[in-house]
Amino acid sequence: MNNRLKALWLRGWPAFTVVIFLLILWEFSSYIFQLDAWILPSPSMIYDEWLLVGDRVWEHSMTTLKITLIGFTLGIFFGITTAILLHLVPWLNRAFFPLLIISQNIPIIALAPILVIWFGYNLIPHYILITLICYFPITISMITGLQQTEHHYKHLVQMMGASKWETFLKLELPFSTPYIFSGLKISATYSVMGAVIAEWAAGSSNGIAAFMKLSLSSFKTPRVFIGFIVIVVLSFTFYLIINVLQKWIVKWNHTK
Amino acid sequence: MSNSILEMKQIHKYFPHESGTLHVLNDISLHVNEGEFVSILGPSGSGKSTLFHMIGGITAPSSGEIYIGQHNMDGISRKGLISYMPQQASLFPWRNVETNVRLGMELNGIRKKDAIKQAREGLAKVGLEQYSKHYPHALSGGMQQRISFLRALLTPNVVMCLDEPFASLDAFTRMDMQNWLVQRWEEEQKTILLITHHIEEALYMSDRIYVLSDKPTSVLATYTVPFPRPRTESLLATESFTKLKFEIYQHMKQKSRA
Ligand SMILES: Nc1ncnc2c1ncn2[C@@H]1O[C@H](COP(=O)(O)OP(=O)(O)OP(=O)(O)O)[C@@H](O)[C@H]1O
Ligand SMILES: [Mg+2]
Repeated sequence: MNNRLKALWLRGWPAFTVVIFLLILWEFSSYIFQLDAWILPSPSMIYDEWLLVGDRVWEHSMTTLKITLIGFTLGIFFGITTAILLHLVPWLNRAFFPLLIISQNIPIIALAPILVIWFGYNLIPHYILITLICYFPITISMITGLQQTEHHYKHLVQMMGASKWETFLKLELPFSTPYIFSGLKISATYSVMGAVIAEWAAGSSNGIAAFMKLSLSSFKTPRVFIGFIVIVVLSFTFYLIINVLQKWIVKWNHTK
Repeated sequence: MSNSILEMKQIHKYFPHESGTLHVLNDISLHVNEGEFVSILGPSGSGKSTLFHMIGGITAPSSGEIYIGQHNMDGISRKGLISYMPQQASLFPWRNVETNVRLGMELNGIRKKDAIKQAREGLAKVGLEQYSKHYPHALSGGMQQRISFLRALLTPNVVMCLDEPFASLDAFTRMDMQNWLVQRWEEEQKTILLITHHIEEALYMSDRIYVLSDKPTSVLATYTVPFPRPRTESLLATESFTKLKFEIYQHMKQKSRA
């Protein structure tokens, strides 16, 4: 354990140092330029504010985390299902793959208010939006992985008697797992942002976006910054978890 | 001829090509009897791997017929009746040594319990049992080829097709592997069809040899190898061996010039 921490430190200290340095710079420039807290609060002000509202922020964060997790799970489920279907059924692929690529260009932020019009001020637009955001990266990267399965492997299993289904199960699916994980990482990073956009557009009364919106309307800028930090921490934790899972599940690597 | 287990009759193969079609195989007929060790010698690009893909049922001949036992391998109705060792070891990186070896048995409905047993026995025989839980990337090229070979050997299909299995090995390891392969073949009573560039390798191991020409490829000659078994490395230094080797060499050279 000690060794691991040491290795982490050896790899992480440049980034860590830069962050500390920027924080110090920020703190000092706030003093030098005497900026008002509602324009740009210093790190210490943000910290003081956190001591005041920490409990409330925690509750809001948990609300956001919950809808994020639900949307993310749905996105994974639909993404993987779509990828498998489009891969195994050629005519489905021909019919829907172009649509899939084109629909990726719809700006999801602009979709949020429309979803609220359609489904009302409740959690449904939230789930749909997060699911959509997570859906595309997973679908596209998994299809890519399935299609890129190397030919010499395919020839081998087919010549030894594998059916289409066996080829999928024993070869293409495991071959695509590193690709699935790169899709998952993108989705994980964007999912929290998706939740925040949804909360913002739907005018929720709970969730980190609601907290930020309320703070903004009363010019409590330090609280908005607390919101930023929460979003960053949530996204990054998500990313880290996926990364650990990947290390744990994908023990090989295609590039040898 | 009556007990031939693999038969190819007047096979032609054309591939689409930028300037019309590429005529690769030109009227190839060959057969392999049950329990026989047959080699195919041919220049690079002559269509040997294509021949294997047809035997495996993943490529259809342009004309002609291929039979494995009673089954017509037309490339459509049926694939996968052979045990196959490709040129690259092609081990699955996500499977460890033992599960890689089990792949062919898995695909052919051998019960898991029996598959595990056979895989362990096989690995013990090839001296790799202590590596059974290792992943392929941690193994040397020679070890990977032995595992790939074991995978083919334990696949319960009638014909074993080996595509230049020893191409990337040094002379010593190569000799080792050749001896080992012949020994397995004798013990397991398999039928083997082997592709190689090496005249010496073909002579040392096989019962019969088909020599192929350059594209469009046809059978130049068939040799029945006269040396009795068991063969040892000292055979390589005998005059009759060198003579036959040179004869085949001359044959291939003249035809490729003509
Ligand atoms: N799917 C394909 N489409 C078009 N041309 C092909 C295809 N497969 C093989 N060819 C061509 O057929 C010829 C024979 O290829 P093949 O791989 O069977 O040769 P080979 O005898 O195995 O060569 P080597 O000894 O180098 O492995 C080559 O010229 C190759 O370019
Ligand atoms: Mg070849």
